[in-house]
Amino acid sequence: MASGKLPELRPVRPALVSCRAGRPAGRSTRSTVVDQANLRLNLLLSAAVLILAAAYLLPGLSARNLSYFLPLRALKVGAILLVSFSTGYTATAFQTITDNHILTPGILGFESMYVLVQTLLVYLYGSKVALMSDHGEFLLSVGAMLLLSGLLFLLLFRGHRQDLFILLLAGTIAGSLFTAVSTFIQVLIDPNEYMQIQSRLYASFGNINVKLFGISVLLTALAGCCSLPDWRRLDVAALGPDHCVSPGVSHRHLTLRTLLLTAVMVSVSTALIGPMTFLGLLTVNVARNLLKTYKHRYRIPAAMLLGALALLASLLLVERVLAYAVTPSMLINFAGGSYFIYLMIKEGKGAKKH
Amino acid sequence: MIQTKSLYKHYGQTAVVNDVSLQLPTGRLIAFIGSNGAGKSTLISLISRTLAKDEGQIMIDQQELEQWKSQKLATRLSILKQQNALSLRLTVRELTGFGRYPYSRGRLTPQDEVKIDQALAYLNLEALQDRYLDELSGGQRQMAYIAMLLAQDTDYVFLDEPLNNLDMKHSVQIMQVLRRMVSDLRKTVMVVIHDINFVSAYSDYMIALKDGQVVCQGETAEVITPRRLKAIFDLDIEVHEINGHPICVYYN
Repeated sequence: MASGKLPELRPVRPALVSCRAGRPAGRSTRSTVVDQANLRLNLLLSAAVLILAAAYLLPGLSARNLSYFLPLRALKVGAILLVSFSTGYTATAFQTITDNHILTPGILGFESMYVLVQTLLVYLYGSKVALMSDHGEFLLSVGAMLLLSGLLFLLLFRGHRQDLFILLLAGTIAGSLFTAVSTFIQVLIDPNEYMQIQSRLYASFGNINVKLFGISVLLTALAGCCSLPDWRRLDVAALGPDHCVSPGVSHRHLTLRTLLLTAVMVSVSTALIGPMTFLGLLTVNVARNLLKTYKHRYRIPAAMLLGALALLASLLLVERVLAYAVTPSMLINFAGGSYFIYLMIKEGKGAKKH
Repeated sequence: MIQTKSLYKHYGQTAVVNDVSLQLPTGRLIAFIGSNGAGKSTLISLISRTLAKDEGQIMIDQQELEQWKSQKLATRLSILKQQNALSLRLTVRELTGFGRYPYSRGRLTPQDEVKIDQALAYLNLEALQDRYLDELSGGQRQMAYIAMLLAQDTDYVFLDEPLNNLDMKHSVQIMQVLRRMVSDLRKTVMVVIHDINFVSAYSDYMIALKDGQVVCQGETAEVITPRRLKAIFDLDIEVHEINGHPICVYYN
């Protein structure tokens, strides 16, 4: 067990010695050094995001095509920023609340609920679904997902005992139920209409609806603002439900808040872009390994920026190199899925050693 | 001052805490004793708001527990529950810093840093302060958690079986620290302990529970008698005086 952890231990030692030498003033430097390094890393990531965004927005623009290309590209970049913002916060907070490194809010069944709503829409309205008002469909999707999460949370917070894992289990089961129902309905519908569903089920930055972008940004920003006071509470909550009570943080209360905000953010971004299963898993864990801090005020922004980086990179790759042979979400899910398997193997090994 | 009135907590049909009315003396080291399942841990969990009561009243400084804001109460009362594995990588100093959360909400001020320094110095943890918790022994880790409690600097301090799984040396160290917290820092320390001889050697006051009810309470010297202990533990226990401390012998 020790052999695996030793390399990480080394860099700490010199700091330890210097702390002992220069007493009170030198004492706090170690944490400030770590904080500064994390801040620098976040700034570096921001710069990288800006460069990639510019690399996507600017090439090939001329005075004549500017008014056509720029808004189109800016919308995609905007959507990417929105999705990375939601995913970065929700996945990091969710992992802290559940004290688990491989869970993401996806386990609560948001995505299968989205698939079911889309399938039902096409089944009930057929090809007329294209004629439905954009806001109507958007609100229906978001509303259905919020309703589902509301029901799940009711299950959790009814009665005195809080059992988060019952909620996760219920979410998983609800998810498989929705998938099964969706598949059943998809078999029944007209093949031509089925094509319509298929295009909706892959996350895509190609057909984002401009009219929905405004309300999505508004809802996400609102949820984001509400989440701000929780960032420091999450630091304490990471101590676990038993140890965070003493410093005055109610795990139960924080869990409820986090789940509600997660429900809003995930529903909105899923309804706007489509399912992005592995993005959160990828970014949160990479951020955790890069920053090595418990402080969410560094970890959450890093996860957001990494998400934007991954999405922009895959968008550039898909549009400029692969000539639309695949979608960005396929790339993300491929990378995230591989990383998931790697994590499983790593955690499995860790478990055996203990 | 901490008081409870007709306190109840049920798990299913069984009352784990059954009509407990207490008035805890201040500025003393109070030990909660009793057999497994007697309700000691449940009782201190109720008082320290880690568990919700079913019925009754808990008063902390003349104010009902429910009326306290959790953050505000955290500057009056702290609790250390039994440890479980932490998946988070934290240094001893970072953990100690969490004790300052009720005061500064995560933005450590220079005064907080001073309090953290003091807590670490009090427990002789300065040399370990930048070590990660998962690199420490169980005893050192327990000390680190107590440093967090100390940095929180509350008048009322609860500890749920702080000696669990510790060797004799660390157990004695921890009891000495708790003792000093009472005599030097004038805190009220309330602790659940199983080893009756640690209770006898270090505590001032005892509260004995059996089947969710208080069977006996009083000064340690008054409670540690064969007759009382028999009533509490259903076990024949001899009491011998060694170096002025009553020592219990229960190995038959």
